[in-house]
Amino acid sequence: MNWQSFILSVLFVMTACEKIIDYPVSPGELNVVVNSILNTDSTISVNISKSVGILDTSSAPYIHNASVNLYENNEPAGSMKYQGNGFYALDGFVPEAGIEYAVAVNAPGKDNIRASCMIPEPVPIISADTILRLIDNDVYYKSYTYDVILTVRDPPGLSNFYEIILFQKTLYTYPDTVYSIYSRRFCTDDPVFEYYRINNDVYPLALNLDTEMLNASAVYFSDKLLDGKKFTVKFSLEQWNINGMYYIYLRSLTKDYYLYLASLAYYNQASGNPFSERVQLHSNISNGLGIFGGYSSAADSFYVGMQ
Amino acid sequence: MIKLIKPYNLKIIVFVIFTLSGNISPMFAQTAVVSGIVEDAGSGEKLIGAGIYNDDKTHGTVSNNYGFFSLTVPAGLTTLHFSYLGYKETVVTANLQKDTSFHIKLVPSLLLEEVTISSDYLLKNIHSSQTGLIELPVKSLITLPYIMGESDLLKAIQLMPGIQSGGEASSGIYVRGGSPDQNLFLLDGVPVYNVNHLFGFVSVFNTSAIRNVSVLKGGFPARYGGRLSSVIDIRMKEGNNKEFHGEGSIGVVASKISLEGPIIKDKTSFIVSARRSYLDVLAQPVVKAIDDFATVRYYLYDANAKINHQVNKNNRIFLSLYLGDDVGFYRYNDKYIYDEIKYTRQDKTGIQWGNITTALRWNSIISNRLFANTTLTCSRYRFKLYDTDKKTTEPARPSINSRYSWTYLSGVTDYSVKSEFDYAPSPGHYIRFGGSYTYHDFNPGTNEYHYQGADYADMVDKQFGTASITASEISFYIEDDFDLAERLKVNAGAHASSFFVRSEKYYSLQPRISARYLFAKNLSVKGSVANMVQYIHLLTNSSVSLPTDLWLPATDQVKPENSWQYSASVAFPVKNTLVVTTEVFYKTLNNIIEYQDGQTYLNSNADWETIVETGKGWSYGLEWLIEKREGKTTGWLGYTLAWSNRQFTAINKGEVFPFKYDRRHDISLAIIHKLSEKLDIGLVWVFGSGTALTLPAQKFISALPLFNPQESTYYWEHSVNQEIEYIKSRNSFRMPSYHRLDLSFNFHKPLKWGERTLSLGLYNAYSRNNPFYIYIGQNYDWYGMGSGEPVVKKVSLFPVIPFISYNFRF
Repeated sequence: MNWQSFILSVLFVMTACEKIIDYPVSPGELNVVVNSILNTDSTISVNISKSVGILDTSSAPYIHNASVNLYENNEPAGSMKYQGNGFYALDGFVPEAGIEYAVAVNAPGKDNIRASCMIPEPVPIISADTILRLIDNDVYYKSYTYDVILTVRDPPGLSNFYEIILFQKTLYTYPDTVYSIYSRRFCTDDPVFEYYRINNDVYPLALNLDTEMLNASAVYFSDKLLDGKKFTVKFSLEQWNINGMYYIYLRSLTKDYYLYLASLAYYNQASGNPFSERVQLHSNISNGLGIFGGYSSAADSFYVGMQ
Repeated sequence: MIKLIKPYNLKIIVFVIFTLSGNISPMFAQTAVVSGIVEDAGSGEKLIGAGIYNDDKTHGTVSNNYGFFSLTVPAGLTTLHFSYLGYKETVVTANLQKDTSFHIKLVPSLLLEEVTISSDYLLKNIHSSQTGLIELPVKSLITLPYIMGESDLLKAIQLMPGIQSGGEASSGIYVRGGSPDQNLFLLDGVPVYNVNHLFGFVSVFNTSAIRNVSVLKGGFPARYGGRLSSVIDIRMKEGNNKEFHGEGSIGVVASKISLEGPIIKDKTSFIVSARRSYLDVLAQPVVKAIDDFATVRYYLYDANAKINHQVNKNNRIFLSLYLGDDVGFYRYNDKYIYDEIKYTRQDKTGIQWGNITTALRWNSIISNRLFANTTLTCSRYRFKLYDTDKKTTEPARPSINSRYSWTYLSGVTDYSVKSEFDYAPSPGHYIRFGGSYTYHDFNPGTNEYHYQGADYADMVDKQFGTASITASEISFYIEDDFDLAERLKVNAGAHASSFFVRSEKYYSLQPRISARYLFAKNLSVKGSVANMVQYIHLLTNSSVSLPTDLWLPATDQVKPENSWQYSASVAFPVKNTLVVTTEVFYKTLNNIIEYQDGQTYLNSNADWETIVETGKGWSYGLEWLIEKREGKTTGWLGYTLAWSNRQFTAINKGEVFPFKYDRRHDISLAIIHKLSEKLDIGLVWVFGSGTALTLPAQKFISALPLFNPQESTYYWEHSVNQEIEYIKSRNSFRMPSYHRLDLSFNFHKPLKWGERTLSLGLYNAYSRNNPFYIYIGQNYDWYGMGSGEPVVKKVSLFPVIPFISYNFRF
């Protein structure tokens, strides 16, 4: 039991009642939501939906009849076509780093929704090394793991925002079919990381104390303490079924996308705590909600074959 | 007409000590200085704020915090009146040809006898130049009803206009739109940082040990500094220097005992008070019944002690101490044997916070005109969270044996020396001046982490967080309370201070002025302007008072807070028994801090200075108070109409939003009625319109791209779970209004050895489901049954709660 649970338990014991009240929550003018994460490896797509009142029993609906136009360095790049489930795409259009992309959306009841971003250049990985480490020295058995040391040089004079993804790919055959299994768990206590993703949620990386407890599928950090420096970050591989091929990705994120993920992390942290201040999600959509961001990637891979 | 002169009582004990100073200045040849001490005849306790008036009320003053007064009057035959609320007035006539000392001992009156307003009360409320001052009648406050029957000073203060609580049953106070850190709590002159026990439900001040409480909401005289919104000056009892006495109580939350008496009669006295809660003791059998390996404890305790010694006629020394803690922990001890190996696990998680304050004080009457007070103080606040885990095996299995501990510590320690002087140089002038030096040692939050795995080898030993910060604060002040014209009284002064932290130096000169114009004998209009600077911030991200709030200094990156407050008031008596005060105020707050959205103290990877936002606030309003201090029925009715706003560049998109405790209407009614010598009743009714609240107005689909390693790219996946609440603006909604009635019935019975009082009462007598918080939830009941549609839910804490307490004194 942690201390927050302790406090909540005390309050719970004292709680006299909880009841539904007739409290007017006017939604006000509903918003058009534009979400798009561009990357230099896949076709651009934009998701358009509409917000609904917080007490509305239906889910937020996708907008299928919006006008969505893409601009490349302020020049029209084309009109995006509806693909279903709120997605609009421009066939075969893959964005590049260093070019400003803008999207202009006109949706029924709401026009002139705009957003723009420029994908940063990828930051190369200098090396991804592994070091064998003894972690359990029992009289009955000994166990080891591998530490992964990633070395990167941060570009000087630029504000960089990073995401690191590390996963293992193994093949599994049953009965005659070959399946790929992706394991995305690693441990880290490197203090440079600010946020982490576990499953499909992002959280602030606060009080990272127990190295065995923090299993992440991605970590996020900025270069505010590293600007222009060559730096290393360390991960420990999960012991179970450690052998296999590993892939590591270093993503360079747009600032707005990073701020969006940070606000999402704080939003998740505050969620469910009635005494915390509510968190407003970061948005760079003018006259609407959502995020128009992106990233570029650098990748490396290595093989672990422990005897 | 106000009756100021009361019938003489021949039984009044008056000790008049005529002292020749032998040094009357020629420039005051036509005047004489009367000075001395006013004290309680029965206990020897010095009386704070006793009124001293000449016959035609052209000259008057009040005794200071140590019972000392000095008044310059025309030489010759003079009649002086000494009065104090709840005491019989003493009148002394003397032919004053020289400076003269008086040692006045006032005798307590029977409540039923007095029905008119005492002159000391008129002096302090109508005739003085002070605005925004509330003096609480400590003795009668005890008879008011409180939750669980635990009398609480801060909850009584919350009943005054301009002051409100932080929430249901909370002891946190918010003064004129200010935050809790902007209140300077002085316990015998020593700042107390955290004033809450039990997460704010009980304050740290034990009413058994308290003699006098005054609250300043505005018009701050120059002698006060360091906080923006209020000064709550709490003075402990000195201890009866004539007889041994004691009092105690047994209540639902805690029991307490207080003992006082002479060590050397009429010369040295002591008082010791202690209090402890015992819910943990009562609950432990239940916990054990549920889980034999578990122990859950939560308790609070505090103790006050004071010794005062009269060195000689003109010198006294005091030593006072307060210490208190809240202690909570969960402990789990598990033992079992498997495969001939004994496994033991000891796990303990806990929280602890508390204050220690000490003061060594020296009072000296240097001359009839000059009084000095020098104090050495220490104040320490400490907050601790910890978690430990130890696993052992016997015979040893090294891979199992491990030990880990984590401790989070934050706090602040102050060491201070202060010298203050009261000087009455001539008729119509009362000058106060002094200076102080404070050494602050802030610990904004450090984490210690130790881990020894695999047979206690493989050690990890880390310490991280923000390093401690030390700072020095120096202040000087001077103020003069003087008559500018026959009807115009002014208190003007300045408070100069400096703060040295890291390589940064801050200086400030804070002007203070307040004035009173007497339109009629008992009708005054007052106005004041005060500039205040605060070098200490409190960083909090919760709407309830939690010990996790961090005390931090102003630094080179986070500037000191400052405020300007303008106030004006009108005060007059009604029908000889009531005093009506109406006050308006406008206050600005600058450089106040808040966490950036979502940040918490636990974000140890970031320096606290990088995760806060600096902004401003302002508040304004009207306060109305009608009081009756004497007679069978006493009490007050207060009303506040107020607005309070905040603005931060990076919070709420830079737009103005209401302060969390912005409350438009606030009404408090407190009545104590003495039906007989054996029974009195207390009644409290409060009403508050809703405080500000943040609620989502809409929900929308978030971008949460999932990583597809097969293609080394993201793909989209949306579901209801990915809907995000949209906060249009912070604090744009309002809580439902709050109202509550509390009642207490106090049955007194004299006994051979003293007196006992049995108190019975009801908190929230008509069981109003007041909102503690409201949130958007789903329509499910406790059993998971319901439609699941989104609804607004209100959580209420306390229905009607009866209480009983047994009090005794001897």
